[in-house]
Amino acid sequence: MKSIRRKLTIWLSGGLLLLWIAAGAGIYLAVRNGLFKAIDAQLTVDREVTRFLSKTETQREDNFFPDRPGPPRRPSDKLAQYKEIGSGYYYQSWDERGNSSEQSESVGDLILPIPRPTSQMPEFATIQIGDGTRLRTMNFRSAPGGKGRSKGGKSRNNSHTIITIAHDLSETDQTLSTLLGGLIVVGLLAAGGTVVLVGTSLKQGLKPLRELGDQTAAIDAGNLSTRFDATKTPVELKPVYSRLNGLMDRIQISFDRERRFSADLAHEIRTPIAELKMLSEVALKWPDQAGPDTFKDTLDIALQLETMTESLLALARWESGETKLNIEEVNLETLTKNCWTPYAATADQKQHEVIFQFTEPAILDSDPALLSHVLNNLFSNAVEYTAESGSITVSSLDDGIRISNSPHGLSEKEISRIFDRYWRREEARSDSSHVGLGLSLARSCSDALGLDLAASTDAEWLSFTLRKKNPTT
Amino acid sequence: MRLLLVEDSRRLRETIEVALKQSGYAVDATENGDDGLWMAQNHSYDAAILDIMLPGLDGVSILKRLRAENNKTPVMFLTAKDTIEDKVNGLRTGADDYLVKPFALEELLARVEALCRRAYQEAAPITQVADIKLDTSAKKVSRAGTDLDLTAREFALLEHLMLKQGKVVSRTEIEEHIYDDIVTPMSNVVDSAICSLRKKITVPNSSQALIHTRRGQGYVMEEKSS
Repeated sequence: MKSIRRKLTIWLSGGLLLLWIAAGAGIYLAVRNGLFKAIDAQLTVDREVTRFLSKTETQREDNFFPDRPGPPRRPSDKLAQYKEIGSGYYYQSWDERGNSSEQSESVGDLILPIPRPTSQMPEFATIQIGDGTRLRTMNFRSAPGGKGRSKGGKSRNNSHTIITIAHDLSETDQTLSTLLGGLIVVGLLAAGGTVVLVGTSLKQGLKPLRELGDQTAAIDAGNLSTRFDATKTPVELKPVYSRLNGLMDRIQISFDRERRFSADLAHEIRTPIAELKMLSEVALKWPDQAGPDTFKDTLDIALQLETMTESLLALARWESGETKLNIEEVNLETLTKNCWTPYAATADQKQHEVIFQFTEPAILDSDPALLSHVLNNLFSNAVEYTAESGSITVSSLDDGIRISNSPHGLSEKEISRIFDRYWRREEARSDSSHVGLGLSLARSCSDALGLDLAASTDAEWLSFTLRKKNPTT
Repeated sequence: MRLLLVEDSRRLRETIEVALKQSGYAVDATENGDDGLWMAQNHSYDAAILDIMLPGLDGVSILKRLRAENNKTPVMFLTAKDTIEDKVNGLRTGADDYLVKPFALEELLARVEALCRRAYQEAAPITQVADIKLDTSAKKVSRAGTDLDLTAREFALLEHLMLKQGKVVSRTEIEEHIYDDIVTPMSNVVDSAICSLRKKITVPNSSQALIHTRRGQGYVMEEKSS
């Protein structure tokens, strides 16, 4: 299972541990490098000292450090280190054939490996000799005819002498081991502290997410009016809370709509079933009370339920978008007037003033049968719910049509629910000739046709606008 | 027993009315909440059956108005509203019963009987005066072990008299509770019905008169000690 906390813990702990290791390694290598440079510098100084190894004490003291300012320093102390066995300071030279020509007394029985320097420039190396001692060596060749001498004191003016000066690294290795141990101990402590710190920090940092989870878990269908409290929320989570509260608003509206639909559907179905049940039971219990009216009522109930079922099925069909459309060019004015024809007589009876305002022939690519269904619903509503001597206006728009009627007597709140399934203006729902699905069906058909059906009110006028959907919305 | 029925569905209203009348009740029915309230305020009913969603005043508002006026008529809601909230709200408003549509006829009749018994504070369905036993549930009457064959209206009349045993029941009250609005002020339908009932409750092995006339007042049903 993916866990942000686990992932962050691994990444942060791992990353910080690597940083600690890198830092420790850097410190170790820097110290080691510094120590080796110091030894190398010492070896370079000692190179000068070794020039006096075969001279007299006086000569050595007079010529030691000739190019340094200040009073001359005595090399005797330095040279003494090369005379003492086990001092850790070694000097040895070889002729080109590899025969040892000179060595300091400190070398004793040790056998230094013969180096192979390529030039007179000193070359530094770290070696390990037979007894396991690690040495830092400086190797170089002497200039021809120069300074090297054979063991017998004869001059070898035309040949090179190979010289090694070495310092024992035991003390340095000890220092480095101590440093490494310290670094490891500090590193382990730092690693442990890092893991604890990262874990604690993440726990605290993710606390708002846990609280959000707890708040979310407490919400169910019974308390959808609950909103997420963002007062103590970190600023990073405030947009999340805001969007969640927006989501809750939408869910609550949907639930309320569904609840209303369920309640309305229950009422629409329960009442005819109750009627049917009572008619049947009374007819069975008192057969003399049953007559033609009983059967007519039974048939009416069956027809009412059939209409309701058909409407619901049609609604489901259009909402699923599975029904095939027969799109063709439709003259909106002609279709509208054809659809109006069945309602004209009722409008006359109710003395409605009916006005058609088509400024130019509107051609629409649509399914004429489905569009007729939408228009029939709108006209049926307009004629039925416009008071006597009221007005109905049908006007063309650039991309659709508007059907308005006045007076209508609906409130803004009622208009906001006008497309809800089973919504009826009369809460009592006494009129069994209506199901309350007509406008829902009209809107579903409009959606299927790519048209937007909207209702609005302006003073005494209720308007239904049917127009092409804006592709950007 | 006289009942008020307020139901906006014509088919349901008419069918329930038939069923109740066939069961011996006098029924006044209307489809409108405002009319229902007026009828409940101006007539004495043994029980009222109200739909909740009604044209005009809704059922809950009718009941609130009646209870505010100290009208204690037992009321049953007959509605499609089936949520717990609806039921609790209805009962807390003062309803005595709540029946959700669709319902069974027998259940409706049984609940109406219970409501009417409650009006007379009778817990059991069997009422007895002397050796006459009346079972409101089974709609049976017997005297000294002999079953009596009564019409629905005679049954209702006897039931009313037995429920008010020892008390004078006026003709007007009988008209109000047993008959619906077809009775004219000058009609002697009550006297005829009482006469007929007296004959029917007289059986060979028990002929003591139990329904007595109180001149100028009405009738009283009781066993007079000899």
